[in-house]
Amino acid sequence: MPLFGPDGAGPSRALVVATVCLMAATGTAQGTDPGAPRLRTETEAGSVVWVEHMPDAKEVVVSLWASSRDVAETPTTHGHRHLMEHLLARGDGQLDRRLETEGITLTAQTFRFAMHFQFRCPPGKEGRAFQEIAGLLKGFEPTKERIEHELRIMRHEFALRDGAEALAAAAWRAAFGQRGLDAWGTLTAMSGATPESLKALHRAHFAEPNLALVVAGPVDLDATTAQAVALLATAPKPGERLASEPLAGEASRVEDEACFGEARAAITQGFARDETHWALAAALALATEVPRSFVSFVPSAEPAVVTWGRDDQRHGLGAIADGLSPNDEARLFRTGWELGQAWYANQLRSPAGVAYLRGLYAVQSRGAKPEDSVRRIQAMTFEQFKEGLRAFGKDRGVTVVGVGR
Amino acid sequence: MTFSIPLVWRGGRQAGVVTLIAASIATGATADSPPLEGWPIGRGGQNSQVRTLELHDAEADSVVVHAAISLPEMSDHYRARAEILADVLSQGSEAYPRITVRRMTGALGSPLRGFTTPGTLHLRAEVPVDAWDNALMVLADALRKPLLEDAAIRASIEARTLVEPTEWSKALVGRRYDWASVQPREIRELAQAILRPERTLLVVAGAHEPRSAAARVAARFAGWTAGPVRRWTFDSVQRTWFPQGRYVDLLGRPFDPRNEWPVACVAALALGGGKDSTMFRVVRERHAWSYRQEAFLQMEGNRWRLRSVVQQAPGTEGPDAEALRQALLLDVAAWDESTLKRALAMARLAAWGRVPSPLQLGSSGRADMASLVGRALLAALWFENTGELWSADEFADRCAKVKLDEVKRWTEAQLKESSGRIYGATGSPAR
Repeated sequence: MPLFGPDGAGPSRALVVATVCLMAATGTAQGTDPGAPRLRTETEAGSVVWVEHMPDAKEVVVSLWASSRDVAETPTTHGHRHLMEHLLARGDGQLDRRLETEGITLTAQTFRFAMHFQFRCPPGKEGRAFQEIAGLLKGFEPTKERIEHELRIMRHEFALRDGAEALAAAAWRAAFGQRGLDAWGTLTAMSGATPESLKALHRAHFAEPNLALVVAGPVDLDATTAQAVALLATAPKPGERLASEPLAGEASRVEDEACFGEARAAITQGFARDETHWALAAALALATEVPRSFVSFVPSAEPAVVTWGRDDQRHGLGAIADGLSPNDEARLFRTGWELGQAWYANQLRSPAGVAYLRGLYAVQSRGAKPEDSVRRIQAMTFEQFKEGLRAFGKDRGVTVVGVGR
Repeated sequence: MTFSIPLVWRGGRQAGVVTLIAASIATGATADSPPLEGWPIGRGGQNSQVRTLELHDAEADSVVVHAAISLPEMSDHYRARAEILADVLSQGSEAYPRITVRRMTGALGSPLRGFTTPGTLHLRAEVPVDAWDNALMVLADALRKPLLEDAAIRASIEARTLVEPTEWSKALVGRRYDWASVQPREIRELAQAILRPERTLLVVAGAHEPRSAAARVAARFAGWTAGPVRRWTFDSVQRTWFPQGRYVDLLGRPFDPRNEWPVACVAALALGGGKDSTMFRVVRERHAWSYRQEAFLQMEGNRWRLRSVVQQAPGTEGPDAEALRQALLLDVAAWDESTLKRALAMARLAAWGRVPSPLQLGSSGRADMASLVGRALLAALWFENTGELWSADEFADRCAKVKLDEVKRWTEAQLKESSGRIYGATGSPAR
């Protein structure tokens, strides 16, 4: 039952110490409390720095997040962000050797809402990650040849895409039409990228107001925060901010030839709404009813979908979602309530999970915290859970039947 | 994470590592068990005892109870039945029906589960600390008094016929067992043959009371005597997977990990661990032959093999296996001290689960050293394969003693002696 995103399972299972989240109201690194284990800082330009002190952790994780709010893709630019992520992550070609020799790993991910670069470092080596992030923010010099070379690599990536991802992408398209384009893109659209268009994309994507930097591990809060704030100040300055219409999803049923299997998806309104968490809990509970089914969910500030699916058969889920008895609902309530909280708790155990989840929330909505989601699930009543289950019904949710293969 | 409990090893083999409590009553012969076809393997009325490995982790917030049953050498026909047996064992026993099993072992979402890796059948659960003795009780009953009812076996068979493995798994495993030919009677007979105390290694890992495992295991398995087994034979029929992608695969010669694991692990990490590995740099970045390419040590019982696999889009032309081999050899020849330094850094990370392990456990993926469940599984397999107790520190330290020349020689020999094949997209079956 995969949930996309890092699993957060690290070698250290030290629990995060529950404490107060301090916020600097304005300016940089103001109002710090040296005793606080975590510190959130908003810079004047609008970027966010989160530093979380995890004294027992055996690594420091540094995550750079860049919001895609100013770089929404269209069918003609679909996948340019994904391509840029590939090129940036390769750096100068020696980046991985430098990092791995020092025990540091770098991974990169492109989501609809943001791009994510994560460095996992031995304690004390987070400064190396900062150096490389400075390079990422500075920009890059892609060449036509390098773009073509990367597209030859990505052709292999596209051809062997995971079935669950394809079903979830189909649910997004069904719910939101062209606004529901996935983060993968198409090779055709990507082949239209030029060095100039990618450099312009970088400047807009990595503009300072779009950034969040999270550092989690055995680090000094104040010193690390000061370094991180100074680092983000080197980011490109913002250009014109684009206003966009909020997403509006529609219940629908589609047959998709690009994938095989079956999925039901609930249309949600973002992590600031209780209903989103009811749907998540419902999806997790429903997934326990069908072995090998999956749940796809990326916390989002905007409307999104929570997808429950299977890629081994293309029937069976609908009958379960639409045919739950009162006894079934009662039985599933406890499961969903527990699993929803457990998913967040598992993420927040490790530095990697903290850097992932806090960054994902902060880059989309500066003040948002995963703890708010946990509270919403904790407060969920049985009636609200049933509402979450109904969001997967054929009349309110999205039904995808993958008829490919 | 640190392991703070000194080693106590009463089984005759001393690993000298301060990481594990290993209380053993190793009276049964397991490492050299004769092939299944060469039965009888059980002598009836034998009262040997289950061996126990205790892995204490004070920082964990759970306990894993894990039984590893060593399998005789088996044809694919038997392996298919072993997979079914593993699954059905987790579905209930004489004393504990399925719903009770799930209630007693499912509190953390990781209830009793059965699966196989090459050479071993596993049954395990991860439970809250205060529930581990109950989980052990359930597990013991599953092994000693399995139900193995027709309905449960048929349900397990049916479920398998529907499973569509991932593209990568299809390519690595290759075989698609002929599930439909499995008969419930065969599963019961197989259970009688392999569920025996002398084949069983019990791992208790987590935050339980230190040094308490051996006594509890002894109590739960007291009086377990396995009956005699009889000979039988089957015709073997199997189908193969047809992955969508094109795969270029180099499979090295089998080797004994007892002597070679440190150099083999460093070699696998230099060749395929991380984004500065030879596979990533040469196959993906230099030639753009693939997006996914891996080199790893394939664990096949007590023999391991170095394997290098390149996954390509359907319709891709080239390279052939020889071109891949030559490209890798060219890079290996240029390995220098900086290559070794990077590989050793990766070995330290792999030891603690921060990067994928170089060890591939059949279709179960890489050894997961980051989770308690994964470490319990690894502890069982590592002991059975190398004769040593698993220790992350020991792993990194032994790797650090490997010399550059040694790694280059070993890798070059493996690549030169490897068999190459291409399968997949054009309709050719996986191996």
